[in-house]
Amino acid sequence: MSRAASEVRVGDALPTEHISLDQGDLVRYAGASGDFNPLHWDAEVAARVSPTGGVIAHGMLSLGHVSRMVTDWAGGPERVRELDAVFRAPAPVGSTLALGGEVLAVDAETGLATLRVWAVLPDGAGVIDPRRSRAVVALS
Amino acid sequence: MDPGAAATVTSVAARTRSPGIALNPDRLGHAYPPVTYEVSREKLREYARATGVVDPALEADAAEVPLASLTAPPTFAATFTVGLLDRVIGDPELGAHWNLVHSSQRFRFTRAVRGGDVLRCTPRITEVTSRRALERLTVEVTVDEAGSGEPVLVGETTLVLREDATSQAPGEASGEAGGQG
Repeated sequence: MSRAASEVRVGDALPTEHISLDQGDLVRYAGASGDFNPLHWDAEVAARVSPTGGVIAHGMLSLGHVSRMVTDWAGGPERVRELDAVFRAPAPVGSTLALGGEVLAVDAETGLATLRVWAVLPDGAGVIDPRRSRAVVALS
Repeated sequence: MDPGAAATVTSVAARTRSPGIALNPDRLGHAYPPVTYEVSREKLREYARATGVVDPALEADAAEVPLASLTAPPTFAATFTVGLLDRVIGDPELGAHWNLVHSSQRFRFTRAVRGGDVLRCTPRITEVTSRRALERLTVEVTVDEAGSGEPVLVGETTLVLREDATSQAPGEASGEAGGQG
């Protein structure tokens, strides 16, 4: 069911959600997406090349969850017109992320809403950076 | 001290600090041969399960729900956009390496991807820049219907490469680069 522009106001919040990303989730995502960079599953490689010195989640896995949140709110994948994510803080394997979003603008002419979206670690660090990450969805 | 001599010393030091800077700026604008991708039911299911998407149509038996009535989650597009980056990273003319992180990602959709779509995906280098010991590489992947040439979406991936593929200490340069591989 698609969301109507008449029901949406600037400042509206999307339902928040928490997800945890364990090693199994990263392996599953690697297989589903074809991204087998060992940074996401091999601790020895990660010790040499990871920004944290350890295994970190794929940025696209966090964005996949944010995209799911936006899709559910907007009323289906065909409603999502644009995703624009800046990956900032790495998410170490085992992290819990808080996902969220809020409406920044609604264009009554086009029916397009611009959302700020994010995925943050418990200390507030932006895995999907809240300052610079956006989604554009078509309302009905 | 002679200003010219001081400048020479500085530039030698800068080169010594950044031995791995190697991206070829002449590759800016280069397009790679297109890759054809077919959207299958099983791959849609795998992707949905891996990203927490609950869609009864994707889980239904193939006899109940036709492939063409399935709609992909938006970020499923990563499989045939971000998924093509290994061809770019492996391009011997570009001089990239795998000590890199995924810094930003954009998708602009003309329409949603559907089951059974046959897509033609064309990667092109749209940014090669250097700043201190970091290099930015942006690859745009244009995705069209293979048969009609009608546009479907455009993906844009920015990677940040760090200076050396093997010798870097953990944590170095991460504050500036951000990103997550």
